[in-house]
Amino acid sequence: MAQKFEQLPEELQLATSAHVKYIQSLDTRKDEYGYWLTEHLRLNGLYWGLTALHLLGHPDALPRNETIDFVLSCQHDSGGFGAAPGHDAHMLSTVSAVQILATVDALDELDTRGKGRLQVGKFIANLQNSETGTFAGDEWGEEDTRFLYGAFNALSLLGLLHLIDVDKAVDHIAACANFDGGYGVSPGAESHAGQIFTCVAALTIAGRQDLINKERLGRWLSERQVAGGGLNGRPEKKEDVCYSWWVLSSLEMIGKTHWIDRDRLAAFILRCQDTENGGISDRPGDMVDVWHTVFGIAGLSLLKYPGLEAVDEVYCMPKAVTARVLGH
Amino acid sequence: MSRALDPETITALNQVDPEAAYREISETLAATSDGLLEIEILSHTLFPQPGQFVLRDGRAIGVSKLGLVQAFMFARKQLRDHLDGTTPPDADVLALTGVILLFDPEYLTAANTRKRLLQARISSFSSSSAGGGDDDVILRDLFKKEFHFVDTLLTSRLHRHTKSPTLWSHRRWLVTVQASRVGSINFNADVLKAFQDVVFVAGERHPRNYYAWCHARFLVGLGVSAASDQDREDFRRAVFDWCRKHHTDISGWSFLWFLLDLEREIPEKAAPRASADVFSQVLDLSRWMRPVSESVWWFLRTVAASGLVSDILIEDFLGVHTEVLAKAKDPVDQAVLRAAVEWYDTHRCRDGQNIAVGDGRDGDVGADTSNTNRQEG
Repeated sequence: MAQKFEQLPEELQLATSAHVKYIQSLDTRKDEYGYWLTEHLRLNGLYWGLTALHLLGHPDALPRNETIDFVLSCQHDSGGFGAAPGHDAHMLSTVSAVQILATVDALDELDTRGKGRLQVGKFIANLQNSETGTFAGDEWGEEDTRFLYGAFNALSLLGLLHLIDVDKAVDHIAACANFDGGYGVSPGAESHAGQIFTCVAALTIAGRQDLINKERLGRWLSERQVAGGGLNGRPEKKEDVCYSWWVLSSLEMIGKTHWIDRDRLAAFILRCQDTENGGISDRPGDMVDVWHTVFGIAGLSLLKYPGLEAVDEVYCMPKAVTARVLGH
Repeated sequence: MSRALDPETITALNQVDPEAAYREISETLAATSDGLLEIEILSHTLFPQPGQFVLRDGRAIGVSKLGLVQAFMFARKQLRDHLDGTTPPDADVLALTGVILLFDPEYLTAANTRKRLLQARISSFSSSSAGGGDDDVILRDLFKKEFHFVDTLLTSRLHRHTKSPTLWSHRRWLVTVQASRVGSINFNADVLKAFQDVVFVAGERHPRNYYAWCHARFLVGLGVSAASDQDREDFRRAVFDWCRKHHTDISGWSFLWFLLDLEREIPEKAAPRASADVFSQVLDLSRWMRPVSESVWWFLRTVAASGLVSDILIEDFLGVHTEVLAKAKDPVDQAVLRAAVEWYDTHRCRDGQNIAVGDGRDGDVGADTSNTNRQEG
């Protein structure tokens, strides 16, 4: 199916250099407030920004050495990473750390300068609930399929999936499948596009897509497209650019992206840009942030917007990176 | 409150004394009150007096946005020093973390530090040789204050706090710890009350509040074995009532479906009757709803297809559907209605079929019908 991007009006072109400048500006400590107010999200933000830059074709826009130094400064003796130096270790920031290092081709620094790849793997593996197979985010016990997916993502990149009980985790995901076709945070939870992404991606990593009722799931996902062309995350919610990723990548994984109108989705994402100052927002006219920027760009990449690097729909990382690391 | 600051705000911020702001705001948070505080973050233009950062009217608290930013900057540094061990260990950690979480509920380290402190205090009572009545009073007070803090944030008009997974997880931890100390659950006191005071309120403050309703399922899992038949019926009615008042809220309907599905596992006859009652009442409501609610029809098609209701009610469902579709002028409404019956027909349980998914079926059945959904307009 040919995308008609070149037929889109001027204002609906991707403002690549503005986005690059926007992401780079997040890295400068222009004012102390901006830095400290978001410190507790820094490592996650770095993963979002770095991934967006790679997909935009500007992999060197952030300094590599400083990036690696910063990531390693977030690591605890346990092997886990916090969102910033001195912040508590958590699954999500640990996964971001692994993804960042993989992207800049520095996973070996975990062994040479960090606590060791295995220690990271152990931190993650220790968070698995041996009874139910799911994963907690940290020692305080919140369980969520996001953390299960995070574990599969990071451990597969590290070559350490064997540290966990994959089968048990897979059984848990199967138990999270809902009658309406979707998946939630735990068995019996409300279906949610974000949680669907985590469950489908984890099953894909485990090679167990056979457990997915693709027709019913595809139907649920295709109903997320609203009149404006954008996608929402659940019934009767507003469209939001980040669902261009969660819904679209899920459809991609089960081979059903043609069940939505891809042209109108692309146009919606492009309308969410701040073409002057860079960045993408949740919907047109709102304030931009780096989270919506990466997922908007990742969505456009999946939609084959010209000039973008291919994104890996399972890992939300450049395909070139996952191919290199996983040896595809 | 947005995390980004514009230049004018930064200029105004530099005129605020961070420590003074921190003192006033943290003292306000710590003050006892009957019932939860109602906190809002307000523009500094509402605070004409320099050096004033809080407005108070009974339980209603207005906190200056600028004051809160500076209070956060102060508290963040103090907490950092405390965690690094560079300040004496008597820092008022609850006050520091309280201000930090008021500023940003996703500040994980603050929430965890609170749990560490509480856990240490709770453990000290367990191992105390004194034991007895006084300890119980102190412990009860400790839990009461912490629930007061987290529930105030979860039921506030602060958009990010009411849906914060960090705060809801903190509450889950608190409930779990308290339950393990007390050893038993009273359905009305522990579960129903939490719904009335916290879940229903948070669900209203922040529509489609995913984590609030996750917490709802957690509470039910904890307390359902302590519930009598009457308890369960009253509870179902309370939930249905909430759904009726918030009929475009998919999370409410999803939770009601969860309750009906749970009843399936209870062998008494109450189960089918509960589903039948709820289903037919929702059908009645759906006749007059304009515009047509996708969430309501999600509920109807799901229950209709689940095998939980009788053929007679299915006939009613199809009849109401025809009636509402005939009156529907908006193509979006028409699409929702058509999709509901198509979905029901495609996915309904045939005799003896297990509704568990993951049967590995793959195929493009339904692709065309899916593409006709939501493409209008």
